[in-house]
Amino acid sequence: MMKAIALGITLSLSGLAAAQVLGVRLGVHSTCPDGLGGCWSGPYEALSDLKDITVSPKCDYSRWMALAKTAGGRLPNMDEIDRVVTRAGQFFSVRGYEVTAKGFLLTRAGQLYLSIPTEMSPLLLVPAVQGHEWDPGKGSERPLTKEQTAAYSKLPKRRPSKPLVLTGWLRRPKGQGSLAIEVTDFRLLER
Amino acid sequence: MVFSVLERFSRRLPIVAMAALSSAGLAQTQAVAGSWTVPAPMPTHAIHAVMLPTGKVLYWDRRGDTYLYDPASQTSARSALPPFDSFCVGHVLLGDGTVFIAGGHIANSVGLNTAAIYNPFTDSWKSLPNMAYGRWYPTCTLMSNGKDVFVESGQISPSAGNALVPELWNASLGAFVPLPNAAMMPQLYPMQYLNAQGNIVSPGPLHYTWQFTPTGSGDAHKVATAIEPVLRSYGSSAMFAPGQILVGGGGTPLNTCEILNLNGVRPTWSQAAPMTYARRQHNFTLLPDGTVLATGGSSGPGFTNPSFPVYATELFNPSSGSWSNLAPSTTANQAICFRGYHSNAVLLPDATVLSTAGDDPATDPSYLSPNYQIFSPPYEFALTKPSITACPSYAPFGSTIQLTVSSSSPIQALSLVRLSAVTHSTNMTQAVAPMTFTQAGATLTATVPKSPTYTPPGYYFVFAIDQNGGVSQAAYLQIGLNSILPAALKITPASGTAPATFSWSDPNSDSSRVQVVTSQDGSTQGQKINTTASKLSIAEPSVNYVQIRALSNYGNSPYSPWLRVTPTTTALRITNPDLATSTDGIASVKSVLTDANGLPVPYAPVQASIAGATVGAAVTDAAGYAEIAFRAPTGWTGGETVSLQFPGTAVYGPSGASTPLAVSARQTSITVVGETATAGENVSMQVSFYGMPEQYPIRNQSFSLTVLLDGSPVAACQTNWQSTANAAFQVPTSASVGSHTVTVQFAGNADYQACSGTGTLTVEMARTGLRAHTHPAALGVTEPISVNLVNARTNQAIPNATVNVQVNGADAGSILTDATGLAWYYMPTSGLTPNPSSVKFTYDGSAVYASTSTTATVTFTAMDATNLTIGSQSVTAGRTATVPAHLRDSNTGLVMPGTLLSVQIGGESPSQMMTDANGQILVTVPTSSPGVVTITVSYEGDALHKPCQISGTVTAK
Repeated sequence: MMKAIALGITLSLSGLAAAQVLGVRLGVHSTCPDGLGGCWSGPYEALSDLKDITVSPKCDYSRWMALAKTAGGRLPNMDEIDRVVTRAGQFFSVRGYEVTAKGFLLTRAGQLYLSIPTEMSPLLLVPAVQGHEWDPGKGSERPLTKEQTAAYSKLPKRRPSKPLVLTGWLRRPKGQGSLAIEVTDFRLLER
Repeated sequence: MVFSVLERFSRRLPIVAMAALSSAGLAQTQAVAGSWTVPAPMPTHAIHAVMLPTGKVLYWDRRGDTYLYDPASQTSARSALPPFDSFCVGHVLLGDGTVFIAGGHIANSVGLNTAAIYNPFTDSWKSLPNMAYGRWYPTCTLMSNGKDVFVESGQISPSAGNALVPELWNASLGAFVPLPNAAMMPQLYPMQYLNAQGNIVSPGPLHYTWQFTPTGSGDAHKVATAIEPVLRSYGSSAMFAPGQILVGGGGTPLNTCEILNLNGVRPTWSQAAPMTYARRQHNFTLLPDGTVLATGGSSGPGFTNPSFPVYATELFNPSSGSWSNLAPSTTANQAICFRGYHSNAVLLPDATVLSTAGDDPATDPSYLSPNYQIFSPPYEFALTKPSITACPSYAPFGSTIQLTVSSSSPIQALSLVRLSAVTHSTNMTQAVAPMTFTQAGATLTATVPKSPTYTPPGYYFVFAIDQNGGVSQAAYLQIGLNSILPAALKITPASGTAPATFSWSDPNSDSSRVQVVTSQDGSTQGQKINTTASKLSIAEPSVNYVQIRALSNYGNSPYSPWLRVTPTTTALRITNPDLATSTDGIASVKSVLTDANGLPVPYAPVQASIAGATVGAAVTDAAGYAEIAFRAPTGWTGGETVSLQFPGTAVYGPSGASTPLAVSARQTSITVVGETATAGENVSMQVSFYGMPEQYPIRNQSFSLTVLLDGSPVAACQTNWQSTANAAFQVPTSASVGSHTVTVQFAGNADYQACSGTGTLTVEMARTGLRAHTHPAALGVTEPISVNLVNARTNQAIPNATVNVQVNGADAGSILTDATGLAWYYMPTSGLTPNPSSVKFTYDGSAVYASTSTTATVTFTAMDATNLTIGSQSVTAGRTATVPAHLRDSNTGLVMPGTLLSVQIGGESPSQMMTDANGQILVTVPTSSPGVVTITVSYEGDALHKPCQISGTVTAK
């Protein structure tokens, strides 16, 4: 237990070679009067039961964001996480899933996609419209920064030869649509 | 057999619905279902409640105001206040009957790192050294020596989350010892119980069962998993038999229950019968017969839900493993008292249960006036009731005691129930255990439990239960460790010169550790050092003494004779001499203590003082370092000197050091909440005053603030105990519509820096209202019509405003409101048509007031004609004539009494006369010489009567 607490989880680029979804941040939400700071142990215990994701006990209480890593660099199983979090009780839910992934850009029918080896289908990239980090002082979600809102528009419009590391909020598919990422940040890599 | 009393009742008297019973069956019903009292008032909400060995209940509220409730007189009285805000602490009763509290309240979700001990026998508090972590909602668990306390969980702050590292209050060291390897992610107010191995087991609210080891650097790991995969937040628990813990409710909420058994090789869970009602924020209370009472809570969704109160009372019978329903706490003809969040239940010495408090955090805590109820369980209505007439006040573990009872029925069971310390559905001390006994007449010979594992040292209720199920009033029995004493140690040598090493051996191996006591003079005991080692090396050069004794969980050996040693000198060096802080800020002075050889002096007490007053203390770590943190109170000017003192021990000579402390005025800040108002309106804007940089309210002080509107002073205000204030002032009537800046300034003082904050006052255009007041008028008579002009938002008058008048659509001039917003229009009515006529009043508005108008309708009535009669008289010159005149309403023929008439005699000035009840006046006319004098009487009319006039004559002959 102490090793996990001391280790924490960082999203350094040193793990790029091994993992494609480099890190996940869960917007864990709490409606209990003591906020997430006083109640984090409930959803943390429930999330710790999942085998395909490792959640850090250290939570960013200023934004109510939990750090996690997925097994095999896969995308998080949002339905499973949603289900497990509610096991901790009526006060908890997940506002959103932020992923940081390494992959290549694809263009199809004028739309941008991120192709990552661990996923069967490329992920549709769309502009970010809503942030899910929490502002405990205001009791509302923090708005996106100008840079986050503009991140999508700055993506290369043609497929670059270089891979990139991209961060954004997962958007569930509607109907037969694709799983999408609302892009908030990206960085082209040298190789 | 001891705990089967209720079961026997249940078989004899089947439970029936209360409503179905006649009054004749009430006694029978109470013997099955028990009975509640109606709510009675208390001085404050008993959010924390501790049953004391003095027979009173210590309780306090969210402000930390403490009271003592006396169950005998059913009254409350104020008690000594704790040294800090004790709201949301954890607490246990120590073995000596004192109350240990740890944690506390800075603000919601922000915990203090403080601790203190309350002595119920002197009604006094003693501060303890601080913990390493702030804790808001910690749980305290007493260790088997009756002195040490395991403190777990508690929130540090919303940004830092919960304290992960538990701490052990080591009474021998007089310090909290963090247990870093026992870190885990805890719930607030976790359920905690001591097991037979001296470890702490937490059966909830988490799904996994954790075990903590409180020795060394500690340890924490999962030892079991509850059956249901749920989080039982704000559930409750009770150890209803040694090693058997009932956990129930909590979470969504749930009605399910499980039992954790600590008596096996490893803890195991089993499913228990569910309660009839789902509960959260409820209380489990142990009763003398080993049953568990469930009271209060809410059954609806949410944190605490007053819309779904649980008034039903339920009882868990371990013998049958089932729950039964008892009398509800509220019936249709009683006041409703929701026992939800912050409610408590405490077993009292008369075997009844005190049920108190309960509020909704979403509302003001005072919404429910403080009150309590008493529940009398079914055994209170048994056919017989034994009494304990004699009981020893103290007994060691494993000893045999004799009690004397008075009872018409043989005693069936003797029960020990440890006194309660409960808050937030978490009772941190209650325990129950049967005592084996034999009875010979009125004398009971009983055996005290041998082990302190599940019955730790301390004060217990002793209840006698007879064969009819009647339960006695409790006797108090303190169970202690001082009975089985370890043998005296064999120590060599008898004296030594530093470096001197003393070795000892335990001839019977019946001690757990050794205590070394130092002395300066060989008679007065100084510091006491506990160790598990078998030797101690002392290197100090100065003369000193030590004595050594063996300690065990069951008592201590006699002290050895004083052993003379030669101590060594020490040097205390402050490592951060540039010590600075601000008012209310924390200063932390760091030091290192070394001996004459430059080697660190470990585990040595260092004390910090300023101007002779102690401000903090610490124990050096293994490297000789000590850090003492203290808060700079108001009044410190910055010219203080911090003195560190190591008082010396048996092996180390004393030393000290000092350094100046720079205290600056604390930064402050002000926030002002914006407000919307109209010109002329009284407005109150909420102001919050903070100490920076933490932005905490500066409570219990009053600061004078100046309020400026657009830079001009308009008011002054004071902060209250919560560090808030109301900037109240009247918006000038000249204030323009739009945004204005309200600035609240603090001028600063010696302790707090000046600051200011601003808020926006939005002055909006005010809707206005005109009200005209009319009544039927008479044509030809000027009709007064009053008009009120008000600010429709505030209903305040608008003075000095021009109101334009139109009569039947034609301009009729304007009128001006006075200071009360009132204006009069005097409407001429001569020849006015049509009937009714309309009068329109129009206010054109101003820069801050909106325009408005109103139309009044004036209806005219016809005027009655009037008739005056007067006679003519003849008198002899020189005599006085009296001439009557009468006034009548011509339409009705009735006389008109009480009416003023104008009378003119000859060429004299007119005078006023009032008609009598007959509508008559008598005009006296003096004569002096022959001639004729004319009398003219006039009536000027009124709203309903036309004027008239008549003349008469007096002829003097």
